[in-house]
Amino acid sequence: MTSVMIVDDEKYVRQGIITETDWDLIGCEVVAEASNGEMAYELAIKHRPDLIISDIKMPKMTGIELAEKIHERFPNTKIIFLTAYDEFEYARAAIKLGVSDYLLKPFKDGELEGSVQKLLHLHPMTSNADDAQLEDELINLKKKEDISNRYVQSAIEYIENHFSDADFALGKLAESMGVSEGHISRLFKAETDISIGNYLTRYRIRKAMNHLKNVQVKVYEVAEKVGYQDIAYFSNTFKKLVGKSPSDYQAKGLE
Amino acid sequence: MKGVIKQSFKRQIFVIFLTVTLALVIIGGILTIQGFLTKLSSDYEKRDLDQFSVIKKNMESDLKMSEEALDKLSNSRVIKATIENDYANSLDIYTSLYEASRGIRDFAGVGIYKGGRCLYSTWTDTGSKDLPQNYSVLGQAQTQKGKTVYSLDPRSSSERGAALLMARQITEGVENGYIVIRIEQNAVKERLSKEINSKDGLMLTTGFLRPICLLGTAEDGSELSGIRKNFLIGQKYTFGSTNNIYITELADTGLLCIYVTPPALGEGAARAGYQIVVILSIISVLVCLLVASRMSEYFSKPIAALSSAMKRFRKGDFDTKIELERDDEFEQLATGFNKMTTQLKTTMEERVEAERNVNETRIKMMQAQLNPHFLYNTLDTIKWVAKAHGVNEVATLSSSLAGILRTGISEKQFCKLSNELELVQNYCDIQKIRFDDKFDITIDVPEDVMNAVIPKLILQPIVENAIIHGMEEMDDGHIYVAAVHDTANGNNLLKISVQDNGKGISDEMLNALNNDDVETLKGHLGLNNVNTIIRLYYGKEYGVMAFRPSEGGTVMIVTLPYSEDQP
Repeated sequence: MTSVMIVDDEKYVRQGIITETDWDLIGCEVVAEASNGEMAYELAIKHRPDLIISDIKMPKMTGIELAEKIHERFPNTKIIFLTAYDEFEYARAAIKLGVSDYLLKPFKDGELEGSVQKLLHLHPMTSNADDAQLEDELINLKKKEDISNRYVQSAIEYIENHFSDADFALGKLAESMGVSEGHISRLFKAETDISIGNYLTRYRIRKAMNHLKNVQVKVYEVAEKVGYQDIAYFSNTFKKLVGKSPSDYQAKGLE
Repeated sequence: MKGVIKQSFKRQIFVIFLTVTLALVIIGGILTIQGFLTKLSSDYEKRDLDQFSVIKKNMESDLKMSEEALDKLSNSRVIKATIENDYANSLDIYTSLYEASRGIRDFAGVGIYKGGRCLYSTWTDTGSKDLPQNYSVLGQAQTQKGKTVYSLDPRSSSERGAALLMARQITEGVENGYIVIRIEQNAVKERLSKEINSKDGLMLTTGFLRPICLLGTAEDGSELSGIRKNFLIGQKYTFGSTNNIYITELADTGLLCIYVTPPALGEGAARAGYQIVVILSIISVLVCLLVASRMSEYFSKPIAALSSAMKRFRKGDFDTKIELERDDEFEQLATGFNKMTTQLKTTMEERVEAERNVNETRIKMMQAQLNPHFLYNTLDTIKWVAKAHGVNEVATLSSSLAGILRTGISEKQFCKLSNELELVQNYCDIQKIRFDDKFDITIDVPEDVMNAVIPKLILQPIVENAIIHGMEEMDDGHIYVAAVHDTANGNNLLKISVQDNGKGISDEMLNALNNDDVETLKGHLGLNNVNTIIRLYYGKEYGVMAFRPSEGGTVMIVTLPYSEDQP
């Protein structure tokens, strides 16, 4: 799990980012939140987050100053800036500091997840890795063979067989194995670090990526093939995990 | 016909040239030929008359000598005695005869007649020399006593001529005595043939046009019979003849001398003259055509250039210039025109620039009034508050509006196609909420076209038009946006189509858009602006066209030059 700290002086914004972002899906966990740079720096020392998502204009210490300090002390910590105004000076400072990404407020649903995914798994691009390795890195799925628990193994098997059903339900999965929903959910989470639902989503998007390697295929066909009825929802989910829209990915791949 | 000529500069010049030259050639040619012919024939006539008078004089002098011979013989006692008393000393008689006719002996013979009998004569003749007493020459001599009468020898008379007899009565009695001078036809011929030209003819006739002697071209008698016929039916004696004919009476003898000469110039000469006129006319028509086409080209080329340049200028091509390689007034005109277009263009550009400055100032003022930082942060807060309260529509409205404003208010006049499509998507996200999801939009643009740079806000008004005007009162509207990079036929165009399944654009708007009717488009400010902006940046051949496809709805196609940099 990637540990994340959220820094913004506005409570609603901070809370919104924490609660509305699909952290589980992208394998992240919010470990701290701060309302200014100073506080954020202290909390960073305490929690050592892998990723800081920070506003720029804040009282006491701005995002830029915070980034400088963090960069000095924890060079491996990644930072994403959030800002309302598209100012060139900010962008230049951010790049100079090795700030990894830059999002304009207000951003749309899924944009932050996609940005985080790209930053954590594709940035900087490991040039010698092939596509399959990059995709594994981006959307990590534990293999059946690596799992000791029999139930979890058969749950994964069930997902592999039924992911394309639009009416896939946890109840049916549990029923097919003769265990309770709660039990299998707990077992699954313990073994794989993510929920069955998120595993299904990741599995579906991985399959979708494979389908989209064929440039002839239409996006809505792919959505249907991997069990989505709502294309907008499919696109949004795809964007969260891959960092770009399905059509964009189809045209350009991961680059 | 008149209209056809007046429509063309070339034809007008041709007609004027043709009129002038043809008038000169035809009138001049005819006058020259006529004048020449008249002068020539008058010269000939004068020469002929000179010639004729010489001949006449010769003949008159011969006749006068004959008359004198008659006078001498009339007074000769020997002769009178011979007739009255039958004096028969033939030596005496012949001596008198020869003596009296010494001057005319070369061409005439003399004879003495008593009654119709020939007593003595100096000419040799076969057969009888007697003459009828009561008609012909002796009869006439008897009625005009003492006077000389001229007549034909009735014995040798024919259509080809006859001997001329001159007779005078000298004694009266039971049988009258006469002296007769006989001039042979051949003798006349001999004396006159030297005087006439080879192509001329001469006739000596009695007062009744009986031939005595025919010479030269008149020898066959046809000319004489023609004249005689004309006299008989009361026509001018030259009628039916191409020759010149001169008639005169020899002294008071009653004999006619007719001189015939061929026309000064034959008909052929006149015909050749007129043929030359015709040939000259044809040549002048050809020359006129050539000159008219050259002249009209010379004059009309710069005029046509000027006219087409003005047309181009009227249609909005302010770079119109005229290039003439000349040094005359046309060149001055072209220079003036070029100066005018340059000045107008400068003025236009200044005005556009001024307007742009005003607009930019306005945008800056708006931006100064409303701190964008504050604006976007507020919209962000609205989004998160809405999410916290589970009102996702408000969150969408807020972030979409922020997206539109970010492109809409920015100072940049151009953006990537991807940005514009994002804006369109944002706009539709808002409108979908406002209109309760009554339509949806599909954007089908290949990634490689997304980097094209276009003037911002040119698609949004079109989509807006589709939603507001095209699909009102509909529950299942659909908008389909597509773009292609058209490289066919050497083109390098970006074509963006916006299709809806609405009620279809009105005829009025369709015509207004496709014919660029600004007045009608004023009601649809957005669409008009799109056209204006595109043409301002790229030229009048680009812009928006509208169609109504057979399956219904409206298709709008925006055509721009494809570029990944702003112009």
